[in-house]
Amino acid sequence: MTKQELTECIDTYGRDIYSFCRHLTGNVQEADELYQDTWLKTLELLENIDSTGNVKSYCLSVALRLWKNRKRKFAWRKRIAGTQDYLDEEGNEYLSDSGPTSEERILAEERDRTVRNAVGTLPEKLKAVILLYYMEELNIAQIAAVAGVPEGTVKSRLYQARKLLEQKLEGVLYEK
Amino acid sequence: MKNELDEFLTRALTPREEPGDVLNRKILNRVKERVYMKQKKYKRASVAVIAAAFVAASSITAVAAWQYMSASQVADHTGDERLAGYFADQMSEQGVVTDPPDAAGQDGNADIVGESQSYGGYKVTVLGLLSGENMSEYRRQSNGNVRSDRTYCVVAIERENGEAVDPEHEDFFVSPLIGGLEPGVYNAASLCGNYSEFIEDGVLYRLLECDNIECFADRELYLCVTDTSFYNTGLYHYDEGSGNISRNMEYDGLNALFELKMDVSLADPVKAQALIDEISEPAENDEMGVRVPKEAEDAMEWAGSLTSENLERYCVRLENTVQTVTVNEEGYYVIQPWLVNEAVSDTRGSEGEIFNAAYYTPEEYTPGVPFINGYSGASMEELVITTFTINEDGSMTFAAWVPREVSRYFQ
Repeated sequence: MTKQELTECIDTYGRDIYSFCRHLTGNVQEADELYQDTWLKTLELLENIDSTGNVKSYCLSVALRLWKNRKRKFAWRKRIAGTQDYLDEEGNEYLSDSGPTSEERILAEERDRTVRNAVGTLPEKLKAVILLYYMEELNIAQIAAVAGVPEGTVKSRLYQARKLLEQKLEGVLYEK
Repeated sequence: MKNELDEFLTRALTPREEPGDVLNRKILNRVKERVYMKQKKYKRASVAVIAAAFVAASSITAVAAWQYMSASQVADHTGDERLAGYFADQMSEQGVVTDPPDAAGQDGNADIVGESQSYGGYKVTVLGLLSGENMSEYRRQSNGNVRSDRTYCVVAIERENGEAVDPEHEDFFVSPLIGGLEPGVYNAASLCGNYSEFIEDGVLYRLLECDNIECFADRELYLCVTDTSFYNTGLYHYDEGSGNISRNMEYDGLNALFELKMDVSLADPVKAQALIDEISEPAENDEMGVRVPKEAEDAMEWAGSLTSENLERYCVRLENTVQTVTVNEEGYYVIQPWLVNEAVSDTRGSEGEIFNAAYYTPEEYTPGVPFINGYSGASMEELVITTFTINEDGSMTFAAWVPREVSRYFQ
């Protein structure tokens, strides 16, 4: 992969990969490191990667694996990550949303935040599947390939995750 | 309800977070560096054999340890006076202080002290090696157990071209390896390793500690030093038949391998087997092939269930970490470096943290309510949760918390 191709890949998939890293790790510093390492590791593993192939799925798979590794590193090199400008992009994006009224927007923002927080509290394996399904819009087969587990496991995790989220978000769901 | 849930999840989880330009540039720069390093490190086989033969013949030397900080000084620099004392005693016994040129190779445990190897443009010198119980001021915990019986090793790593080592961009892995045991599995990482490092005059000093390896003294023991973050199987050959480990001569980066000569009488097969069992025990739910301590997963899962509302019920705020800061002239809350409690945990915010005040408004964060912004720890005993609270007067209060059940360690 040439530098130009890498730049194009980052342009195309950077946001998807970075969002996944942010929600997987739960904080900016870890996400930045994971995002960076994900690209570097992807390049290392697929030196001759065909940039027209499924780079996104491959990167997500690498990110997931690296994150598992990193959790092991907690014992190895412990430190607390910061949350510098954790809400920068969200804040900017919401402000530029001129569609709904301000009250509707605030309610929607609040609900989104509640939903994201609920997802953030899921056990790691369930969280990863939810992020891959709803955030990265992968299908069951693709998630199975990314996570390296059978499709049945993905379905089961998705089911469990949704059940847990239904419980956690009961107030929000009935509120609407 | 499922449709609603789908709708909410799809909307809430739409990718919004953009990587910054600086971050993306950093990746491109690191790719360039890597390409360069890769070209430098791997040569064609025929060239490599010649080069390796030359390097092997000329790279292992005994150096005068006084050229560097002593192991005792290194330990002292990391704040471990107790360990510094043990290293000082060892050096005194070996005459390192009074007679530097004869420092290398005096006796059993420290046989490689003063030995130096040069590979891949780096020179590595072993400055100290000690094993024993309760030698450190720091109590290490892992997998729910206090690890007090440890091996400590100090090395100096420097660039042969005289340039300063840059730990921000250069990774190193220092680890004991054990003959007869797959080095990719049995190394400092799985031996509950930990390290401290710093730069002095361009030389990187690293103090490594891990579970005591003396119990393996009846096997071949090694110390590897590489220019990688973790153990890389491509850098060494492991002969499953003989159990011997050797350098991959074709690797032109740093893959030093020191042979440790320990007193065979120190071997303890029962203890050794216990360590092997602990490491080889398959981790639960590990379909990715990565060994994640269950304690770490449990701790992360437990921390993930904490909320602003239940935080005080389950956790105790560590008052020594509390900081209340106001917005500075540039519009940021700047949290100073903090430390939980050196005697218990080395968890710290070494570089402090910076929050852009524009995004931490009373509208976003209810004043007076702590917001959980991070947590880390390999077990419940090591778990540290950090929070910030936006105060009514616009200031921000930062704090670190620990689970109530382990808070006794912090009293």
